[in-house]
Amino acid sequence: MQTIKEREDYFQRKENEIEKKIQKAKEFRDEYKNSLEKAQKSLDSRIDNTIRNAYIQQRALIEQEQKKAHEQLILFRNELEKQFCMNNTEIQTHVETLTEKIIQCLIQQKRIF
Amino acid sequence: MSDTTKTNFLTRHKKFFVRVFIFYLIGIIGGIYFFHSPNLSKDYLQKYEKEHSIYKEISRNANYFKFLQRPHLYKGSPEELEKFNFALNYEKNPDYLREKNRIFYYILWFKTLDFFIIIFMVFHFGWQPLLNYIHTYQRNILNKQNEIDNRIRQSNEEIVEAKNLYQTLPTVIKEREYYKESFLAQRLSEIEKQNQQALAQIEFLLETRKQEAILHCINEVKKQLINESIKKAEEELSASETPERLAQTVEKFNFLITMIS
Repeated sequence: MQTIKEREDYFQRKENEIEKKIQKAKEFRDEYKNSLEKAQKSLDSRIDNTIRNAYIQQRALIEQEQKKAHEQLILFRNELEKQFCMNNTEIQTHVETLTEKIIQCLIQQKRIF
Repeated sequence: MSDTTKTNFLTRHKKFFVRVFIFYLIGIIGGIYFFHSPNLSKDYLQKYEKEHSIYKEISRNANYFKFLQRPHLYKGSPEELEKFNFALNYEKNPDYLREKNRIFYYILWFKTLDFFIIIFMVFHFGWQPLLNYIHTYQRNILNKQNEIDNRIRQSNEEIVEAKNLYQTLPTVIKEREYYKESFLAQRLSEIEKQNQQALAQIEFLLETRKQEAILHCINEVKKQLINESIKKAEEELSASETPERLAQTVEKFNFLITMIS
């Protein structure tokens, strides 16, 4: 650096180098931040979708199970109706016995139930 | 400049002023001793007073200088030429030349003396400020150089730090993925638990409904039996009983029905 101009040029050159380096560092940091945000968003989106799908499946499963239970209940009721449905001859024997007991009770004034 | 400052200034530079004054005084004395005065000497004036006064008068004339520059080309009156030739011869007089040289050396001596005095003063009062200025100038340059070096070092550190940070990006993303996966696993486990609870509740409700249905059927059968029995009892009793006893029986029957209900 023999002259003032050379010195000024040298300082200017160094200033430019520093600015470039600072700019480069800033770019690295911005790139890091943006990449991280992007990855985070992608991850959050994937997890949200998975959880939403899990809830949808849960709802479907519950509806399916409720439907199945309802059908089972209907079948069970039908079976019960068949099982408890008595014809007149079958019920008449019990009716006669019970009638006799009612009459006896009425005569003796006893409770039967 | 205040009085105190002036006093301090004079006190600080007292020696210098004394030296300069002595030197200047010696110079003046020397100049006067060697070269006497800047005017023509008394002896000379006594000897050539008349010629000198004529010469002074002639030398005031502007045409005389034109004549001095080109004497052979000058066109003037013979009286004028005579005067100018007189003045020219007067200037070539050895006594006049000696006096002229003495005056020249007198002036040269005092000019030199003044020049040295000024140089001394300038060096004395200007040297240190000049050095200070140069020192400050150099210091500023060095400071700027140091500042540039520091900033270069800082920028290098910053870029290295940024690069290192950027290199940790895959690791950081993996860590976050790991945390998120564990969170997801936890949430899925909770959902699975809710599913199991819901299934168990549905099963429980189904069993309850079944029990209710069984009880309902039993009650229906009971009701049918009772209705049929009461109907038959009524028929039998209406056929066998007298109206008085029937009224009593009906009362009992009502009581029985009340009890049953």
